[in-house]
Amino acid sequence: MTVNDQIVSEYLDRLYECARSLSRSQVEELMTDVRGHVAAAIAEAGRDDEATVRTVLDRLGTPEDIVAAAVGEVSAVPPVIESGTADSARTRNWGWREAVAVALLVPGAFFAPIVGPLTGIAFAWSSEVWDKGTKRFAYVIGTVGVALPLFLFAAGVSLFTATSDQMGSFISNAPVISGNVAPTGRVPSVVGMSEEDATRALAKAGFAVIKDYQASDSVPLGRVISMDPAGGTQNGWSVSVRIIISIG
Amino acid sequence: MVAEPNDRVMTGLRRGVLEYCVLALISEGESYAFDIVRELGERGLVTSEGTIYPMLSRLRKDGLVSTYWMESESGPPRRYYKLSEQGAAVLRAFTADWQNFSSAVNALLHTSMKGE
Repeated sequence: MTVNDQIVSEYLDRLYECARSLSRSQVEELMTDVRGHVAAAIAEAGRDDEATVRTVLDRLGTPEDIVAAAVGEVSAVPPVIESGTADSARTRNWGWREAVAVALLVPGAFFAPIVGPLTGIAFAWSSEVWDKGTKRFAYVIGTVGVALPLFLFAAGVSLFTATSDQMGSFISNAPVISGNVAPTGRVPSVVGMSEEDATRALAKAGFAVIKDYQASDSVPLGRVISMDPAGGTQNGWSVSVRIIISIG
Repeated sequence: MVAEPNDRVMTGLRRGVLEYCVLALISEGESYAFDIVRELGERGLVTSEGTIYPMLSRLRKDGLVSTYWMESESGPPRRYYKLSEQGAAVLRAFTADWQNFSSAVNALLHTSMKGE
């Protein structure tokens, strides 16, 4: 791993760490976008020296800034206003349905596990006073009331049966990211290929390609003499691959 | 560090209009995320380029833009953005609002300048 690879990896690691509060799909998308941005910027510059890489990362902003923006986007108000908003914003008095729903949703979860919250959801849903948002909230509370005892029960059973070995492998699998441009992609081997084929293969695998040219007695003109990192390397977060092409 | 009042105002204004600037850029043609981000950076509309990506992601979730992937000759596969019909409607509505808003503000600012 070169120094510049390390700078990029550290940046992406930090971003990944900061992004823990986001949902899994958000994290995946963000990591893919940011890594793709860095690779594209390096590919555009045609260089991956330290100054270039640092400029690219400076312009991106700190991982903390990016994650703060992502957190802000989640709670942003959708730009299209629902037609029913004016009506639903009006507050009206609760009737017996609403009172029963609240009683079943919260204390009901303790006195009558599962059945209580389920019935509570049904009452909440039939309310003519509550708007959609409130009903959805009641639904979420009710679902938690149903799911929590089930989850606790299941957790109790699995704790009892799971061996420490299984728990270990579960934890180590957790941070793997999949996606269209896998950040943990394997570097394809392109030694001996033509410049064009090699560039295409590496680009397809998600890497920015940095080219150097060198004279060679053994490798024909236009073919790849060597590459760094080597083909087959599991490349972590790094974004660029350097290839040396023969000029004959 | 506490921002100067002027900086704070400009940050707020930028934040408010940024997503419409993004929609306007995308409306000029199907665009590559990297180009959108660079363009906004070069126009001084955004200081941390990386903060645009979460916004693009949200615009996609809200159905204002759609995305697709294309392979690139020299770098990783590229995500392209395209304005949806809903996105075009939102952009049109904002454009009209903005024109009213900015001309009202401009008129007041001109008046106050004459008064000095």
